[in-house]
Amino acid sequence: MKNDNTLFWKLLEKEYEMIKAYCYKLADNIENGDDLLQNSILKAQEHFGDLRQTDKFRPWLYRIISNSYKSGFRKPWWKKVLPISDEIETQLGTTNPSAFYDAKRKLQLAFEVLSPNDRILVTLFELEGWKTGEISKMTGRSEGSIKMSLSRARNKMRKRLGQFMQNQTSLPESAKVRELCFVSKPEKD
Amino acid sequence: MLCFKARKRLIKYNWDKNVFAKDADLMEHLEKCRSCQNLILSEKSIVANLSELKQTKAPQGLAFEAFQQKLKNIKKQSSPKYKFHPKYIIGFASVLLLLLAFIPFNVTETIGYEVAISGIDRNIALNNQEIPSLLDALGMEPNKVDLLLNSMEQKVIYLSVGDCEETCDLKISDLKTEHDARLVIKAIIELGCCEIEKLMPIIKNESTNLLKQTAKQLFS
Repeated sequence: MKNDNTLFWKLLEKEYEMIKAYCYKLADNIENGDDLLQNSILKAQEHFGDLRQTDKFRPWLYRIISNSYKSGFRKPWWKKVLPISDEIETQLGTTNPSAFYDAKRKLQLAFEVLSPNDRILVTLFELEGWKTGEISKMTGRSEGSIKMSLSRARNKMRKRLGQFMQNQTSLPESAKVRELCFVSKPEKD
Repeated sequence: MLCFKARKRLIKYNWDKNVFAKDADLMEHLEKCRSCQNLILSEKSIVANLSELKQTKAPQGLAFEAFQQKLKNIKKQSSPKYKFHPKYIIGFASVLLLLLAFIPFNVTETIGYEVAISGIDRNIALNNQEIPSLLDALGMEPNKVDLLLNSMEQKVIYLSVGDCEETCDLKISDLKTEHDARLVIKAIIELGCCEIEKLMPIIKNESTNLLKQTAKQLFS
């Protein structure tokens, strides 16, 4: 396909709000989310000519965003020489008072144990509401493998939080156990 | 019931309270096992938080038109044609350094010092082939000779006899450092028996490259 800027912006307009939310969900804070969005769109615009079918625009765009996000973790060695200190890194994501980031902070501990790939899968499946089939098309992996990865990711998150609770809380009284153990599953849309 | 069995059942029940609450064995285990309780609490917390995050609206951010304008401005400002990535700069510098490392160049190195002495008695010059015996024959006290030799880096120093008539010319070429050369000159001047004709460095010309030179500096 010819690198058509007008067509690119037209197609992007439909997806813009969704991909913006996806970037914010993946990144730790607004600034990183904006950077991720901006870098991904610049890359997408540069390589728009390589896209053969416009109906594949959405998964193609999400793949670019996901790859940009992953490459953010693969810092080259000259950037590793002077890393941002843990202190600054923690401050980045913990000062935003909005409800969105408040909810993210609650999940931060569980997300810590996930690899960038797993984070992308969890974000798409749990937060963006993608079906495993759609994720499979986007990533080029089989549906079974996606399901397996999601299950393993959930297991890792559960274990991480479990360990944290083990260290933080005292043993609940047996009377309270039944009440605590009742898990309420959210209603499916 | 063992924990792994309890967890298997929880997975089978899809962590659903309505289902696992009916399993008496499992509930009995849960009442005793803190780590399984924590797993259920974790699952509950993850489900609740994921659902909360899903329902919460993401920050507003830039509107599409503003974003489009911003990106156009960025593209105008940047000149991707001559964009230098740090890795290319480092790569280029490495190649340049590698080339420089193998380019040969000449270095001159002082490998020793030569002292020429004249006016030494013929017999003394011909019969003494080393510095200690020469100084001894010229009348220096033995303890001073020892002290001089101890102060020098090169312990065994030979002489070469040049033109001889009544007196002879001598050359001392084994002196490795300037310090040794100065000590010998000072001793001979103090004796007052002969004259120092010249002190000159022995220079060696060598073809080398940056790599050899660095290795030499490192391992010398």
